[in-house]
Amino acid sequence: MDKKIELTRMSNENLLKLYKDIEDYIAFLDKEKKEKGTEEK
Amino acid sequence: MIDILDELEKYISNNKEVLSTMPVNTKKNKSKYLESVEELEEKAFKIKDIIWEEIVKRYDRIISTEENPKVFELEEEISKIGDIELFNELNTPYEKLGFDRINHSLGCFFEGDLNLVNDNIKLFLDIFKEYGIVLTADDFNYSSFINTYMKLFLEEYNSGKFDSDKLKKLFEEIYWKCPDFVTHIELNMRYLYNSNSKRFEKELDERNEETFEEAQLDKNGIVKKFFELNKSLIKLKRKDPKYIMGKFINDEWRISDFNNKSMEVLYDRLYSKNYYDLSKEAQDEVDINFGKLLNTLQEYNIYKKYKFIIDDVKTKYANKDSFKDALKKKLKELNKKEQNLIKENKKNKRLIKLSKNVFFKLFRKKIEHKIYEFPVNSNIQIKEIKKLYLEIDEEKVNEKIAEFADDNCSIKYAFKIVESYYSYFYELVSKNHADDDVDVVKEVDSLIEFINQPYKVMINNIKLIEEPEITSIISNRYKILNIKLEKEDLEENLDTIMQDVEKIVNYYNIRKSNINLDDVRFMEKIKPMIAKKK
Repeated sequence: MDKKIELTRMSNENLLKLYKDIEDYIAFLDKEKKEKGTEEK
Repeated sequence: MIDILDELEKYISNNKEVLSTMPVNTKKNKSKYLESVEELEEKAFKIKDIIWEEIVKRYDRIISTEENPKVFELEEEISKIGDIELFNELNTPYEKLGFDRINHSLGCFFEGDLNLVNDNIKLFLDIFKEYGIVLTADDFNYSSFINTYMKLFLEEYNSGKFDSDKLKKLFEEIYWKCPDFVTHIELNMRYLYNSNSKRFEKELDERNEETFEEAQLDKNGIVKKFFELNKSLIKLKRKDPKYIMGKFINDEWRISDFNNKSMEVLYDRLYSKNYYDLSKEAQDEVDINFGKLLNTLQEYNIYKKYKFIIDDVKTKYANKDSFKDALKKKLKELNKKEQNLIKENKKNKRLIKLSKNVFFKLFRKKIEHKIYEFPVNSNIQIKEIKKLYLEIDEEKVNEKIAEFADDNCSIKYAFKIVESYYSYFYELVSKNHADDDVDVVKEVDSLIEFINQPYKVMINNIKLIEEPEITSIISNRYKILNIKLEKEDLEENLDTIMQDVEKIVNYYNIRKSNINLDDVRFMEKIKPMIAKKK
């Protein structure tokens, strides 16, 4: 909840940066999953 | 306090580090590794959703930027005045109430379809009804075809529908028998208006008087008020946050178009001093002058584009003495021809009745021959009447030029005279664009709108009989205000100059609108992402 309030106070620029960071992180995890998953098979 | 951005960065790098230390050498280890990745991914998606929710919330708030309530108030006040064309001193209720447009539209039937014909008939009947005149099929007696068609049309119109298959079938049937059938409708309508014109004039005068009384203003006062209110509305709208945001939302403007560097280049090109060395107040004054220049350029652009209209009025004005009584004569001729046509129609109706009567058996052949010949003869008369109506359309303009134009007549007033007669105006524009692929209706409507908008300084002051060097006048006027504008620029690069000046004016209005440019940038970035997700 606190984090949500913090989000509302963020500048547009930082909010977009935050979104990009989490997207990059998800892309990284996805890549890991695919690579290691293929190796496992 | 730790920034949420740093916090996320730390969270991500910690997780990555934990993952990097996990062994993946055996199948079991790999499986554990994948389990952790999936767990982290699930959490990451939740975080992403929360952030996205905030982004959408902001985007929705930005795109629903509210309009200044004064805009609505002004629009309401303007709508109370209604259509100022109703107070136009130059034309009659035929033009004021839109009968000229209806008939002109029917005259262009080959460009349209049956729905267009029926919609126009309905419009025509609606106006008559609004003015307390109820028409019956007997009023449509220009030909037996129109009489038959209107019988069914009125039946359907009175029952609230007028697009049944029955009507379509009847139209087809008649159309192949008489391809000029739509002309019959058009001319019969003109005839009906002429027969009722006095009633429309009286009623419209009374209605206008009521409007003046309610507003406690006379005709000139109310027209002046209309223009003043429109001036305020335009001023307010140009700086209205919703209007400005709308331009960015609809991609008409891009925030990058207004960046400091490109604006510096523009001011440097068009302003002879250093704009950025000026005080805030002085900068505002410069920008307001650019606003005036934009209005002038738009006026000049219209003048240039529609100079053929001005030339036409000039020619007519030079020959104004020859117009004397021409309209009266044509109207008299028309009346004679129409009365004759209606008489012949009645006679033909009687002959049809007689042909069925057994007592006239002996004359049947002769009667039937007359009935057979009638449509062709009648159509010849109708074509003559149509030609006469077109001549009358032009004579009406001629008469008004003779009556209202003098050596002090401004270019704006010359436009107004022609604009007051739609059919003539349309034909003039259409003739001028005979070889181009131009939407004439759109052209005509945009010029009418332009003439009826405020901020007409130049065309309001230049006289019809003058042949001024307009480009020099504009250039000299704005050079005094330190705006770099050469006569040649106006002659050769008008579009580019207009775009550049408009950009300066828009930039000024954006700054005055209190709109948050950071919000605009944000909206521009998010818009494609939202569109992708939909």
